[in-house]
Amino acid sequence: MRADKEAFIINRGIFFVQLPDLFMTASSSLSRNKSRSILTILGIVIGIAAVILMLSIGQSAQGLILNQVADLGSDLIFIEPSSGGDSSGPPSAFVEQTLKIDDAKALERSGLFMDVSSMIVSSMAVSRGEESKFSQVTGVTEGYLSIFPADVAEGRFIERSDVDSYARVAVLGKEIAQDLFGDQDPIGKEIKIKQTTVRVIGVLAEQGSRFFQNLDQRIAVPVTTAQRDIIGLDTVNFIAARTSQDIESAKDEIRWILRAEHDIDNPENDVKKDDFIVSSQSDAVEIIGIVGGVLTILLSSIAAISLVVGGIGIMNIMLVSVTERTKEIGLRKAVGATYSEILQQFLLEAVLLTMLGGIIGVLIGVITSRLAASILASYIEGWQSIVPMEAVVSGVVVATTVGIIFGLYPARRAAHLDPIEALRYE
Amino acid sequence: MSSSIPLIDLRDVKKQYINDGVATTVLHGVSFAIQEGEFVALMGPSGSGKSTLMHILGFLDRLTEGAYFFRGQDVSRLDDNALTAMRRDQVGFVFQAFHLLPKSSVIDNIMLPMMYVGVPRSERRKKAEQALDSVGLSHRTDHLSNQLSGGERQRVAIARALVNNPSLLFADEPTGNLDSKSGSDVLQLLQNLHTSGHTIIMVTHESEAAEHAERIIRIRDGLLVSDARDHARRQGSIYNK
Repeated sequence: MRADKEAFIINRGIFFVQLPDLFMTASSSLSRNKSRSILTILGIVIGIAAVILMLSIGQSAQGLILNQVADLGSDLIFIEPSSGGDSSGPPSAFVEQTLKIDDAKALERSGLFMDVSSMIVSSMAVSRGEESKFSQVTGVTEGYLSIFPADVAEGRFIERSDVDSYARVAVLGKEIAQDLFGDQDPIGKEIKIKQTTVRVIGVLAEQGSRFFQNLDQRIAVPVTTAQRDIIGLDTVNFIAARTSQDIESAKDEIRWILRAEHDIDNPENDVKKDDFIVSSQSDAVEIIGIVGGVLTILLSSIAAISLVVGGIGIMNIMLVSVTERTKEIGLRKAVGATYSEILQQFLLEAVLLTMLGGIIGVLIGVITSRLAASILASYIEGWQSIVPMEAVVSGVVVATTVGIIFGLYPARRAAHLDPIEALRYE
Repeated sequence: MSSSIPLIDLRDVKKQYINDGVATTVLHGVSFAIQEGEFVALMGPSGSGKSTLMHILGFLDRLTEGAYFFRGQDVSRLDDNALTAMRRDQVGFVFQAFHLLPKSSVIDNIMLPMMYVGVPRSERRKKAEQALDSVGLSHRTDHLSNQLSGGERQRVAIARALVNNPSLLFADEPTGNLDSKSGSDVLQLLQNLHTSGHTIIMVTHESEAAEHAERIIRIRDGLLVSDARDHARRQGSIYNK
């Protein structure tokens, strides 16, 4: 009996001999329904394009920040006040200010650090005559420029003697200088920060922005003057230091020095007991990496949802197509199409649809990413266009897989049709 | 009658359908043999079982009881793939409703069955053109099938049925959807094909159409009621089984 059956099946070589035929059949049936095909793949196109665009923007932003972090150097250590306890979670605006200028001086005295600068920052009204602007006023020490490098365009920067003598002097960013003085030379002229009159001693060269803050709109004053005369506080917002030794041991040194300064009894070196946080650039890089990873997971899940929705759309249209073409399927079976040949034909149609959707989606995603990058680059200095290659490749691969998964059920329905019933179908 | 093995040999074929647990017997035991080269008309009123019989003969359906020998080999219990292979390699179908793909060209329609047989691409068009020529429609090669008249469509369908050189041509009410002129053209074409050696089984309920065949098998209520050959009919005596 077995031998009989086999005798009737003419050997036709391997399974995929007909692949070009199937491909032509599938593509011609898709092109006969152009507008429907396009509408069907729209969900997949939009899903994939959106994910590539968002990943591109996310990675470009991440790259920008990482570059800026790298520009500052890996030997930079930041000390910020902390309420203690769990150091994770968002930075709070209501953290008790615990750092003082004396803390920075203690670090300086240790001789372990090349540069130490304490800083206090506050946004306030700055005026010259009728002209009034809001600016970020930064109380700094003479070490500021070695922490955050910038060129002095005119005049000089704040010196040690200015800090020690509570001098009422200010160094302007390039843009705020232009806003207040126009074409005039600001050196030697007076401006008012809140109610305090200070004399401009210098203007910094253009710096652009860092971490999305415009540095050219800032005004630097001696930290002592800022504390006593302008802001009215005896604390500082943070202290920055550079070290030439190993970062981790330098961080530990800072902790021991500040604990002594703050009378904190913490022999077990438990950072949660401190009223400050010591962090280095590598910590920042790590956090940026975590944020980037979370962003990618988030976008991937949105992509997954949109692709499932798109896949259901494909399945729906393929089922309609199978019903519409019942007679065609009946005829194909009558003239000798096997179950697997019908299955392959309809599966290939679904896969061609989604693969096309994936390719179009990738193209649109790449084009809009480049467009967005060129727009953003004109606003944000150093913004680079990053189109993640893995997203491009996985976009097409995933779309194709969606076609296989959601095309299988309609294709099986088609392949299972009984030729007699199918030919009679009205 | 020649001593060679008949092309078709049906022995007490029964067919039963089960719908919602109710069994309906459509064929109650039909036996006959058809030799290669015959032109047979299968007649009977609607509901007689003639369509079911054609489906079984054409490997579209299976019998429930009995045996079906095709060229001496038992094909009664073939599985789906084997039946498909039989349809593909042994038979050509002509349907009442033509069943051409409406948005495809005439030549594409005729080439369709060759795809499943695995005829190399390069040979398909030539074979299809030959088949189209044999039904006298060479001038319609690249027309869309829905631009043709009914008679032309049926001739295209005949070309499609012939393109793989089947052992057997089935025509299921081939004139049912045609006016009498086109219908007689199609019947004349079938007769010519028979003359040139094709084996043809035509299902019809029209006596005029059946007159073109050299043998008429009549079915009623799932039983064979008569099987008459040309010479017998001409002599006016009907052989009753």
